[in-house]
Parts: sequence; structure tokens; C-alpha cells
Amino acid sequence: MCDSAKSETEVPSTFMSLPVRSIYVHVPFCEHRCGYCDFSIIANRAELIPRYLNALRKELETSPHLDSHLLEVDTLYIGGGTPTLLSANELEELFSILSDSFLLAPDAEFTIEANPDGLTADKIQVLKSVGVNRVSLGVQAFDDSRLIQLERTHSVQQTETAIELIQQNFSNFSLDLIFAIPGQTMAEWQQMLLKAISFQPPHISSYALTYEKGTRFWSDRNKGNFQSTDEQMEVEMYLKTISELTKANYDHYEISNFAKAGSQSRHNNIYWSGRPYLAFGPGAASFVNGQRHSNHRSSFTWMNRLEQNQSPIVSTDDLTAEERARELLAIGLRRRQGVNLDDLKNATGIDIAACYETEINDLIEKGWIQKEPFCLKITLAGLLFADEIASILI
Amino acid sequence: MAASGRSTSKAGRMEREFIRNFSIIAHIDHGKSTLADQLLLQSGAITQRDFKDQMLDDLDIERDRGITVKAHAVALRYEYKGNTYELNLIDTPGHVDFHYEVSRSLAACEGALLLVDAFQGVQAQTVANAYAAIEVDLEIIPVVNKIDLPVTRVDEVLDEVETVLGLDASQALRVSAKTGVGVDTVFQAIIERIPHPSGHSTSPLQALIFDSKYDSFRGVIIYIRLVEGQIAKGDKIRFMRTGGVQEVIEVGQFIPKLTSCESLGAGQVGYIITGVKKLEDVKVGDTVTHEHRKAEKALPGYREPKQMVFCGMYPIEATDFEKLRDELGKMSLNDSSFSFQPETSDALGFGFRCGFLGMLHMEIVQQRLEHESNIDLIQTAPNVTYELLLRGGQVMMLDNPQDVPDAGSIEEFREPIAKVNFIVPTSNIGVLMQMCEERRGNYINTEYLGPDRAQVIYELPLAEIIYDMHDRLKSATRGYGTMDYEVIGYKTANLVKMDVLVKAVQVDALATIVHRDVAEKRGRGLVKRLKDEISKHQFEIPLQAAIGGKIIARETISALRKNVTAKCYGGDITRKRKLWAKQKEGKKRLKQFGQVEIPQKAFLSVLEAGKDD
Repeated sequence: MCDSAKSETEVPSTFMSLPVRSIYVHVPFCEHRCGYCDFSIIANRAELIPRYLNALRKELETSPHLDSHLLEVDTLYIGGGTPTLLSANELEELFSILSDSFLLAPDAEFTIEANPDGLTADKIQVLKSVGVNRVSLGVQAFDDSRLIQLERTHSVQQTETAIELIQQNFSNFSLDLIFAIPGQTMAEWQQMLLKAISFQPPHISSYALTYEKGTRFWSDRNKGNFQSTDEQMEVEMYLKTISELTKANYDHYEISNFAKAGSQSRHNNIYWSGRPYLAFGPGAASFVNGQRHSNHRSSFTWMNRLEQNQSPIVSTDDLTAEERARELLAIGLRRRQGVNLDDLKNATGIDIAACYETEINDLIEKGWIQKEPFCLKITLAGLLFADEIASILI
Repeated sequence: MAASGRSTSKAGRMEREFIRNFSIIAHIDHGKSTLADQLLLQSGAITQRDFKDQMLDDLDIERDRGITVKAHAVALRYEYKGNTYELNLIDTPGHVDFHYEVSRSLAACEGALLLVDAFQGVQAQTVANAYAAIEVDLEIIPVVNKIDLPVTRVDEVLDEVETVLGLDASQALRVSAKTGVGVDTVFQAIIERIPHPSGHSTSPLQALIFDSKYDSFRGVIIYIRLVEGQIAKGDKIRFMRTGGVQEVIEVGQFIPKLTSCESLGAGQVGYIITGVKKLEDVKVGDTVTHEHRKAEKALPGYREPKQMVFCGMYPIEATDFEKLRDELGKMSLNDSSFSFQPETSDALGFGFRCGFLGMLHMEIVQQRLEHESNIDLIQTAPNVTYELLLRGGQVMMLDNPQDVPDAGSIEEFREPIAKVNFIVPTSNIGVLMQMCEERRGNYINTEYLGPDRAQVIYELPLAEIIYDMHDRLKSATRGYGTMDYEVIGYKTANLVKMDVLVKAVQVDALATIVHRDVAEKRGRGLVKRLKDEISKHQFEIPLQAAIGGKIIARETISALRKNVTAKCYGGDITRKRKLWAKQKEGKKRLKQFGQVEIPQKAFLSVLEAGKDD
């Protein structure tokens, strides 16, 4: 029997008619832009927060997918940027805006992203009072010189204080870590992992440092200012991550995500299982009625458009049933539980296993995926080539 | 004064005193098509309403690239001093690849408008085209175009016309083809200055075939210029060189669409349709005469167009081979200067070796193939035709590097040499000369066109210029330099075949012919470029360049360890999906060699005599 049948998140059966029960809100503010970051953010412009909040209110009020009724949601995710850069009052206003449109279901997962340096006791009180029950903390490294190298604004000391504060107030939280930082050794990374485990977070996300076009790291590396970590070393660090965290009883449930039993990110599982979600804020992307809508990535354009009563959406992709099926498979394979082919067929009407038998068999032959009854799963070797697999299946 | 609509609507016989036959010659982008459009518009041949930009360029690709490839002919009616004149505009291609077509268009004319951009002045193709017109004794009317530009240098441009081309610039016209200013003086000059044709309608028929076109409904449309005699519907005619005899089914003129009439007389330009169904049955340059009243001799024809550039075209899917043959066949129906022959490559399988007049010609055919067919192609790097003198004394022409015989059996390896005419800003002469020296150039001379510009002439091996010389010239001169060339003959050189091995397997389609003295350098550059073009695989790929079994350069593509995006959340999915789709599309253009996938671009990269050489 395939894992997905007894998983925490069932694959939907009638996928087009599913109601939206997940919301993402993007808060673009950051104290400054880190050298590796290519997100939709604006650095050091906190004075724009009131303007942003007004625009967000307008986006919710004019959304074609919302009506005057409160929408009950199972997951709500406030990401960024640095949402906790907002003051306690501004956070209160943000939640008041959201409560005009959404109602949290009784067992809803309500996540907010936070940085160690902005998370004060008064803000934590606000978060608790509005029902936030999961905090995702941008730790990145437990080493001050690495933090400086990454251009983070916090210290290890601040991180430890923040984790303590979180542990006192929330039972569910996640730590974000970055590996393959130039100069980082395997021993150093292993220490980092053990340190993270020592706090016993229910959830850990671990990402290899990537070099995105347009970032300072990208151009510095291309200029030869520093040497990025050797690919082989990066692979070994990744495999070490998997083995260390698994040993510490974390379930490796997605390429970069690890969770204690019952603590998978429900919100992120929505993305990977092809269920609908609405997203608000600059650069945010919704998936609803089989369409993917993307907002303008520039915070200023996003605000200007809303202020001028224009739609902030910059592109819409209408997916055919086949495109949806291919995408579901390509993205679903990122989850280690695999993709249930019957469910996929029921959801999209496409018998993907039959249509793409050649591709699938090639991938099996390469040792990247394996077939189990009713189910396709990525292998450990395949994890390293998930994008290669996706580009074959998409 | 423009003529009224009435007199333009009808084709037919015309006395020679009222006929003028002319071409417009110009460097690319100097406004030839725009002027042609204005002449059509102001003569009433077309109305503003159905005015379509660049009427004369009826192939999509020509329109895309702003160049005219095939010769066309349009008959304009124009009222001047109480008489109706027939002005036949015979269009010429402006690019170096199509010299042959220029010369055959010019042979059907008595005069030419030499169009020069009021700012850019005389450019390399202006020179080449003007010399071609002078060679056949045409009356040349210099026309400075684009006088409406905010910045012009008309006086200097006229100086250039005098110094470079030796033409009297005092009578030059100044126009703006875009706004129509001065276009009336063009009509006036055509009528006053270009001589009328000299033939007699009563003489035996001599008509020059200067072009032909395949029409799927009517068969072959033959473009003719009557030199002597007259031709009418129902006439029995003979093609003097090929010997074929046909009946004229239709005779007419392009006004600008095909318009039939009863007959055409000496000096006129038009078309005939006969029973000929295949383009290859009509020889451009042939003379048409009457079967029952033959002319004594044929008109001087044209020299055959020479294909100078060859490349292999292979379908990625072997099953597309027959489909590709059909498509190439269709292509050659309308373009007799393009040829193709089946060939096989160990690496690429079954495909075709295709011959072209030049690089632009090659690109146009290739683009047309991609537009019109649905075949994924691998194209090998283009090469020129070499001449080999073998030990036994026989001479062999070689258009595929794979066919180079054993070095021991070659007495002389000869390559085509081109005389290249560059026009560049004087400040760029140094860098141009350096470029030419690197390409084994032989300096001929420099002539100053004025204080700021000079014409520099070099003899260069054709192989060194066909691929990227033009692009390099443009970037070295910030777009101001232009070039034109003609092949002048073959010269012996120390040439060798350079093989390429990918993961120890020789890939014949990557072989090139290089000069021995620069072989190591080229080899190193080549494997380096291949390293950039071939993506990492899950294993190491050694790349080697070799001459006669001796390795002269090597690089290694390291193994791919991973290809995975760490973050894939809500907003990432749209972007990722596009990226994956692009990667997938890219894979279609890969050809599998053993375990290694080589992309199309790699086959072309072998020729980039790059900075890294």
C-alpha cells in the first residue's frame, strides 16, 4: 500500500471543484537585502508599511475569489520578507484586515515567518492573541561569522533568545538552515545540524545556498570574488542532512523539509498536492480553478496598481488537464511519500502512468524513481535530480 | 504629377520612346523598399488604401529581415508633359550573397537609381552594386535619401559619391522616400536621364529571361525583358539555350499584380506563362525567340550562380528524413540557387548536404524550413568548397570536411579566396587590420573617402569570413563598418582536417578544415566552446581535438552531481514550471551520441573563431 493513502494529506479526488481553504500573505519588508536573496522584498522602507496595509486591504476587498462572506480556512501563512518587522500595532492591523475576510477553522494551522532580531515579547503577545500557532524562524546558521557572510542582521545570541521565547509560547515551530556556504566544512555543518536538533524543533527546513541571477552573491561569484562550494561537497552535505535528521527522528517528507511525527507543514503540503490556494501581496501566486495567477513582483507596482483600482495580477496561466497532471506528478514527486497514480487519475482525468510510460520507465531505469503498488516515489539518488525529473515529466 | 488611376489599370504594348527600365541599388536599410513603395504610390499603381509596407518584398522572411532576395518587376504608368510613360522597376537584392541576382536584374535595365543614406553615406554594398551597374553601362542617377533625418551630412555624402564611385554628384537628387519629398524629381530624372530601350518591335524576337517563379496554380511564371521584337498570347516560342518549344498561354505585366495583356513589344518588361511546369526547365539567362522566326543568336546570358557555402542538415528524428527531403524539394522549387543531396554521417545518421550562395542565403533557407515545416533539425557548421589536387593529378572539389582523403594522397589543398571591400571609420582601421591579419588576410590597399572614413581592401580566405566576420566587424566599429566581398579564385594553403572526439568517440559532424599554423589554437578554442555548449552529464566527458590521430587539445566536462531546486513553494511553481518546460524544449534539440547529448548550438560553435582562441 502506498504511503499517500495513509498520509497526513490526502490527494484530492475532484480537483477542479475543490474549495479554497489555504491562504498565503506576502509581507515584503526587510531591514536589508541579504546577498543571496532574490525574493520580492523592499529593504529598509518601514515607513511604507501603512501604505502596504491599505493596498493589502484593497486587494482582499476586490479579489474576484472572495465575497462578502468570511472564508473559512485550514491554513494561513504569513511569509516574507520579514513579517515580524511590522510593529506590534501594525501586526494587529494586519490581522484585523485578514479577519475581515477569513475565519480560521477550529484546528487551523496559522504560520508566520520571523527573524530572530525582530521577535520581541510584545509582538509574540499579539501573535498569540490572534491565533498564530506556528512560527518559522529564519535561523540560517549558528555561527556569527557565517551570519555576517550571509549578510544576516542577527547574532547567534539573538537566535537562541528567540528560540527560547518561541518555545515558551508556541508548541509548533520550524527552523530554517542554509548549508554549502562558501568555506563551510562538513564538520561545521554537522555541528550546525546537531545544534539545531538540540532545540528539538518539531520542524526543520534545510536549503543549499543558491546563486540567483540579480543577487550580489551571483555577480560576486561570477566575477570570481569567491569560490562557491564544490558540487560534490554540497551533495555530501545534503546527504548528511538527511542522515542526521532522520537519525534524530525527523521524517524527511520533502526535498528540503523534515518534521517530527504530525508536524509536517500543512500549508506547504497544499502546494505540493495540487490543492487550491489564494495568495496576496507583491509577487504572490494563487492557484485556483485550475489557473495560476501571479501578482506583480515589484512592491511599488503592486501598490500603485491597487491604489489606481487596477488588478495587481501580472500573469495568468490556464492549465489544461494534462498540464495539471504533469505538474502534479513533477511537484508531487518532491514529496517522499510519492504520488498516488489512481488519485492523480481521478483528480485530473489523465492516466499519466499510461500516457508517459516511456518517460517513467526511463526514470525508473536511471534509478531516480521507483514504482510501488499504485504509487511512484522518488529515490535517494533521484532527490539530487528532482529538477531533471521535473523537466522530463513536465 | 501623378498619373490618374485610369491609365495605370491596363497592361499592353507601348512605343519604346515611352519606356524606361530601371533598378534601385542601395546598401541595406538605405531605403530602397520605401522608395519603391513611394514610386508605386505616387504613380497610382497602388492606392494609399491597399498600400502595404514594402510591396516588393513578398516573402515573409524578406519582410522580417528587411532585405529583398528575389528579383521582382513592376510596371508603373506615369504622365509626364502630356505623355504616358511606362516605367519598369526591376528590384534587386541588396546583399552580398545575391550578387548573381543583382547582375541579372541590372542586365534588364538601361538605368539605375543609386540610393545613398543622407547620414550613413556610401557603404560597402553601395560600392559593390554601383560597380555592377557601371560594368553593364547603366545610366546611374545618385539619389540621397532620408533628407528628413534630424542629422544629415548631404555634402559629405555627395563627396563620397564622387571620390569613391567616380560619379557626377552635381546632378544628384535629394529625397525623403519616407515622407515623399522630392519623389517627383525621381520620376522626372528617370524619364529625362535614363535612355529608352533601343530595340525594334519589328525585329525577330529576343527576350531575356531574368527570373522565374513557381506558382502552384499556373506553373512557372517567366520574367522577361524584350530586347527585340514582340511577343503575344498564342505565339509558339523557343528557349534558345535549352531548346524547348512552348506555346505562350498568357502574357502580361506586374501592375503590381499579374495583369495579362495581348502582347508586349521591344523594350518592355513583363511575364509569360507557358506549359512549363518545373522551375528547373527554365534557365534564367536564356533567350526566348519565336519558333518560326528565330533570332540569329541568343543574348549573352549569365554565369551560373556558384554555391560557396555548404552545411549538413539532419532531422533529429530519423523518421523525418523523407519529410525533410520533401521540404527541401519544395524549397528548391522556388530557389534554383539552393541545392541538396543526401549524405550520411556516422554521428548524425541520414541527412542532406545543402549548398548556398552565402551565409545569409543559408540562414534564410534554414529559417524558412523551420517556419514552414515541423521538423527538428541539426545543422552542422557551414564550410566552403575546397579544391584538392590529388597525387594522381586529378582535381577534386570538396564540400564536406568528412570527405577529406588521406593526407598522403593530397598534392595541393586549395581554398577559395575573396576580395573583401571594407568601409570603416578611419579610427577603426587598426582594429580591422588586426582582425584581417588574424584571419590570414593579404592587404591590398586603403583609400580615404574623406577625413573620417576609409575603404580598405583585403584578400581573405572565404572560410575565414563567412561565419562571423560581419558580426565582428559590426562590433569592432560600433555598427559603422560595412563589408562586401566577391570570390576571386583558389589558392593553395597548408590546410588539415581537425577531428573532434567526444568521450573518445569521433563525431564526424564536428570535423572542420583548419590552417595547420593555427590548428592548436583553434583546437583549444573549439574544445573550450564545446565544453560550454554541452551540458554536464552524470559522468565525465573528455573532449579532444585531433589532427591525423594526434591529440592537439583537450578539456573535460565534469560529471553532474545534482540538479535540484531547494525551494518550491506556492509562488515558485509557476516559475519552475516555465523553467522545466524550457529545459524540456531544449532537450528536443539534442542529439544523442553514445551516452552524450550534444545540442544544436555545439555544431555551430566549432566555427566561432572566438576571443578565447
